[in-house]
Parts: sequence; C-alpha cells; structure tokens
Amino acid sequence: MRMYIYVFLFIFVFFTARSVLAAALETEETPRSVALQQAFSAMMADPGNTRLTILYVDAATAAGDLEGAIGALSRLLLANPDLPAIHLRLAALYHALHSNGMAELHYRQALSLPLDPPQRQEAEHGLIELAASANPISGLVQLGVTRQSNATAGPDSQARIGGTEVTPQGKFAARPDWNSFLYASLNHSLDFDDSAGTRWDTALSLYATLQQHAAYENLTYGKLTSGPTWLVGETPAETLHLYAVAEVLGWGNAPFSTTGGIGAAWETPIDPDITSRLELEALDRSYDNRATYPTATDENGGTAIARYILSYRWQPGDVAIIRLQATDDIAQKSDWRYREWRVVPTMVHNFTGLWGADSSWQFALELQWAWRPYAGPNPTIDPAITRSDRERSAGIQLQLPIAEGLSSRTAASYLQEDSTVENFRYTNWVMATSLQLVF
Amino acid sequence: MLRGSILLLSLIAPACGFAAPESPGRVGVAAAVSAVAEGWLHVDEVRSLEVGHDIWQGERVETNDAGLAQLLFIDGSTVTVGNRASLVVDDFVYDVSAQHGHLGIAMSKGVFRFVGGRLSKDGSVTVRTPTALLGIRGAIVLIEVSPEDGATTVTMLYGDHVQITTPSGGSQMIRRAGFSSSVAHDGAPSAPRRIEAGRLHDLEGLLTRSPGTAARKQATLPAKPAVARSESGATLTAAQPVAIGVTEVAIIGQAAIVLESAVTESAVTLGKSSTDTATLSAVAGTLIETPLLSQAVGASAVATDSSFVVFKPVATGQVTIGGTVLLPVSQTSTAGRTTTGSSPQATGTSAVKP
Repeated sequence: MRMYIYVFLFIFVFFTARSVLAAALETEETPRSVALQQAFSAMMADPGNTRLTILYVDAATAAGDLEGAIGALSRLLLANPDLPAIHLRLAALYHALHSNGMAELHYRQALSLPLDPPQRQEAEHGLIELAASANPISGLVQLGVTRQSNATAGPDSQARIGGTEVTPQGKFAARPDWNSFLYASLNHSLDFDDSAGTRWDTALSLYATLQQHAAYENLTYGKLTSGPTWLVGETPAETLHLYAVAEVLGWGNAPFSTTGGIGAAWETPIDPDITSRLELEALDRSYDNRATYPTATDENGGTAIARYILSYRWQPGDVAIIRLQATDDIAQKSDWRYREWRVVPTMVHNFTGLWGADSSWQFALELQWAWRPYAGPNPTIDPAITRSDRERSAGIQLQLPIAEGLSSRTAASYLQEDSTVENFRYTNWVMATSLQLVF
Repeated sequence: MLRGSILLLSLIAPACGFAAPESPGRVGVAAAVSAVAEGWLHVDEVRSLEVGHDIWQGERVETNDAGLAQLLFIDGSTVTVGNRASLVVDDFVYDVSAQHGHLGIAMSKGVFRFVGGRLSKDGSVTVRTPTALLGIRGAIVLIEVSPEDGATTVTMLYGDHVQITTPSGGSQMIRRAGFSSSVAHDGAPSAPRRIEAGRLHDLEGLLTRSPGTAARKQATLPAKPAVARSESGATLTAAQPVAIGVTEVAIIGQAAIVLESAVTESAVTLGKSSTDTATLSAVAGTLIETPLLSQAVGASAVATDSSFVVFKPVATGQVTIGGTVLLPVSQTSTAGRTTTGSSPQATGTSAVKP
C-alpha cells in the first residue's frame, strides 16, 4: 500500500515540476533570444534584403528556432529555386527536425544542380545518414579494463557474524583487483508506419566482467525488454512504452538470479528543451543457492521500481539530467526486504576538442545518493541491528572521438557505502578505460 | 528589384463566408514575391504586391497562374502562397511582450506552406478552408485546397500536431511528420497516411518554381552585349552573360555590373589586372567592402537586395571576374563596343567579344 503512495507522490512531483519549469522557461530571455529578436526586426523592416535574411537564419539556427530558419530560407528559393547552398541548408534543418522526407527532397534538389566538391560531399553524406537513420537496428559495443580498490565490496574494517565482531578474511575481505569488461547493447525498433506512431521496441543489454584475481566476483548480466510504443497526447514526443522484462545474473561463473516482469515508460515533453520520463516496473526475482551462499533463496521475491527522469537541454550539446528512483523489494525474509530512495543528478557537456568534429568530445559528471533501510535484522549477522545503508558516489567520464562511431571512454568514480551493519560499510575507487563502437 | 503580380483586393473582401474584422491592423509584410507577368485589376483597391508591402488584417491575397509569394507575420509565422491561390488573413492578434494571441487564415483555393511562428507554439493558429478547420500547433504544414469543390489535403512536414475538424463533426489529428489527411466536400477527414515522396516533390515544386521563372531570367539578362557609360565617364562593355559555375554576369542600366550569385562559397576575383586582384565571397546579397574594392580594382560596390551585387567602376582599368576579362574599362567615351584590352585570360566559360 505504501508503495502506491510513493508512486502517487512521484506522479505529483512530475506534474508539479512540469508546470513550474514550463512557466519559468516561458519568461526566460537569453542572449541568443535577444539576438534573434533583433535579427527578426531587421528582416521585417527590409524583407527583400538577402543579407538580413541570412543573418536572421543564422540567429534563428543558433537559438534553436529551426522552423523560423526554414521559413526564411524558403523565401530565398522563390527568387531563385536553383540555389544549391539554400537547398543544402534546408536539408540540414529538416534533417535536424527529423522531417526526413523533406530533408531527402532538398538533398536531391541540391544534387541536381551544379555543386562544388564539398557541397556534393555534404549532400551525398546527408542522404547516407538519412538512409542509416531508417535502419531499425542500432546499438553499441564497449570493451575495456577496470581497476577497483575494493573489487569484492568487502568491509573497510570489521564485520559481524552472529552479533560478534570478526575480521573478514578470504573472499569476504576487501581486495583490489583488475578486470576486463564487455558491454553490448542492441536495439531494434519496428515502425508500423501508422498515424499513431505504433512501433515495437526491443532492447538487449549484455555485461560481463573477468576479474584478474577474484574470479569469484566475475559477473555476467543480461537484460531483455520488448514491447509496443505508441504516440499519446498531442505531440509526437509524448510516448507510452509497455514492455516485458527478463534479466539473468551470473556471479562467480555460476547462475545467481533470474528476473521476470513488466514495465511501462511514459515520456512527455515539458518544453522543447525539457523531457520528463516516468518508468514503473514490477519484477519477480528468483535466486539460486550455492555452496558459498546456501541461503540465497531468502532474497526471492518481488520488486517494484518507480523512476522519474527529468532531462534539460540548456543549449545544444549540453544536457542536465536528474533521476529519482524508489524501489520496494519484497523478499521472502524480512532481513532482505528493503526500500531504497535514490537521487542521481548528471551533467553531460559536449564540446569541440583538439581533434574530431565539432562538439564530438564529451564530459560527464554524475553524483548519486541512496538511502536503503531494511525491514528487519539478519540474525546470522547480528540479531540486534537492523541494516540501513547510505550510499554516496561521484564519477566523471571523458569520451573522445577516434573515428566514425568509435570513441574512447575514461572514467573515474568513488563510492562510499555507510551502513548500520559493519559488514556493508565499504569504499571503492574505480578507474576504467574502454573503447566504444556505436552503430 | 523584383516586381510581383500578386493582387490585393480591398480590405473588406469577404472570404469563405466570414466577415472581415472591423479594425484591421498591420499583421506582417510581403516578404517575397516572384516576378512574372503583369497582374489584373478587379476593383479600384487592387494593388500589385511588392516585397516590403505591409499586409493588413482582413486583406485578401491572390496569385495568378504564375505568381508566388510569401507572407511574413509579426509573430514569425510565414505562409508561402502558390500560384492560382487565394487567402484572407481573417484574424491576427499578437501581444509581442506576452507572445500570445491568435492567427486565423482563410484559404479558399491553391497550395500553401505554413511555417509556424510564436503563435503556433501555443496552438493559436487556425486555418479555414471550404471543407475543414485546421488547428495548427508548432508545425510546418502543406495545405492544398481544390478550386473546384474546396477539397482539402493537409500534410504535416514537422511539428506537434494538426487537428482537422469538419462541419459535419468529423475529426482527425496528424501527429507524425510526413503524414497527410484529406477532406472531401461534405466528407470526413481521412485517416492520416504517409505522403508519397513523388507527391511531396510535386507540392514543393508548386511552391518554389513558378512557370514564369525561366521567362524572368530572360527578361533581366540581356541577350546581347550592351554598352553603358559610367558616371566617371568610363565605358564598359560586357560579353554575353556568362556562367562561371553558377554565377551570372550581365549589364543592366548605367555603368553597373550585376552579379547574380547562387553559391555561398563562390569566390569572385576582381582586379585591375591578372596579378592585381582581390578575391571576395560573392554570397547573394553580400555587401562587399567598398574601400577594398576601390583600392584593389578601382570599383566601388553597392549592395542591392535579393541576389544582386552591383559594382560601379570609379577609375580606369580592367575589371575581371573569375579570371576572365570581361569588362575593359577605359576613358574612351565611345558609345559602342570597345576592343581595348579585351583579351580573355583564364578559363571562364565565355570570352569577351569585341
């Protein structure tokens, strides 16, 4: 019952944030919008002046008013429909708006006219990109190495067993280690090409680590979601995605858990630059006992997750994201039942670096706070103490372009877990470097 | 300067059965008008629309067989009017500071492209046709209205949505770019379907290329070399209009070189001789720095509107364009063609003719 109240609170926060942000952004005036207004006024006063029209197009494009730029550029074609540079700019603008039919039309119009080599290359590359965007399959592959100061998540100091303090040893002690890892995701979207925008979206994620020393910490993880997506509301940016979820987790080279469930994701724009997304999942987890963990099945049970994600693109290439997540885990035994509250603000900044295309370098900063109280004490550990964890982490990441679709990623993060139970107090420094291929 | 053949009927002309508002105000300007044959007179208040003319609330805009125009509204919306089209600006209210208001247009026939401005973002734009009422929100829309029976086809190229309603109560919403819905006379709007690429090409062609375009170019470029006398007394001659890449050169009027540039990266070389040159960008409408020109080539530039840059020689010397000597300029005040120094130099597509 309490979980439903939490979900209701999430929805309330969602609608409140949406209204407040929309109202605040309506009155915001940035230097770019001021420049746009000035350029528009100058163009209105002398609409036949091509120079002023081009200046307005540039100002409108910089301010994100791509429709205004399209209207102005279209006017130039009335005077002379055979302007390849204008066709190329219109094609790029329509392409940015995902109006692929119009983008293709203008790229082909440009190609039918005399072009210099860079223009021809731009038009042909544009058509290739349009064809690629129509491909229903996309994904990425990431291969790298990680160094962790505490790969076993062992307690920083002492542990407790049966209420008695002990010194963790062997697999239960904190231990640094290297690992190599592989992450791959594959997405498929089948568009039914109907007016409701119906499509069937399927996503597969795979993650595997191979520890250098602590092989008992090797992880393999797979997640599959699949289900329909519809346009809802009055804009094409507002979608509802219902899906089935299946997860498998392997730990220490043996199966550890399987999960099945359903989910729903509702994405809606608050503003052209702000998107909100509400996700709800209901999952059933099943664990496998093992020699080293004969009571794993105590964790069997259901899990309900609610996530609210707010994304704000304050300028091209820069995104601020905040994720609020609530989890209710209903395990068989009370010492494994918990609720978790998690806040994750993230900032992503794309910029022009020493090499590569404009804004092809990316820097990201992520912070996390989580509070995780458990329902009851674990008598094996200490019957007198009910576990309650507080998690804090901070991480940075730098992504650099290498070639088309290929980039390198370097990341560093620090995790600190505080707990009422000493067994779960630990810190972990993580450094990772990898190559990523996007297709 | 381009002249138009767009006619305006009087301010009180009714459109689609709706009465014009009592207090018309300025709603925008005619931002583009294609140059074709002359228009016709209907009543005393008809005028030929020209670029820069104000557009008023309640005004009817009509195009003839070859006319094209674009109306630019104060909120940033634009309506491109195809040929044989007719529309009336029914209603326009816009609070500039609050950026709120309403735009209502009645389209009785023809092909139009509407690009939404500030009012469209709030969904405050309505378009009436003989068979449908369109509510446009943040969209770029193509609208076809049949002159025979008012049947309407709406294609959303981009945007949030277009809501279509009919007098009979039918309703449809287009929410996907590239989808169209049609409303026949006394019918309900069809379910939106993706528009075919060929049909999209045809519609865009109706909105960018008037049948008179080729005739217009012929009318502005002389078929034969012309002689003109500059204000300084120098004499200019020109070859046949040449095309260097997509650049066309001709002589119009007195002592002027008209350069029509169609490529933004096109470089034009101007110089007194083959070794004393300045290379400048010839973006259509660019104002070329006068001191630079005067120093380098002995000519000053006067920027015009549209696609033309006009040069006026102010000193003796040759003016070369694109490496080909086209215009020997001398003090000889001969009303005819001169052969002085008129040898072609580079690889232009046309040579100077004596």
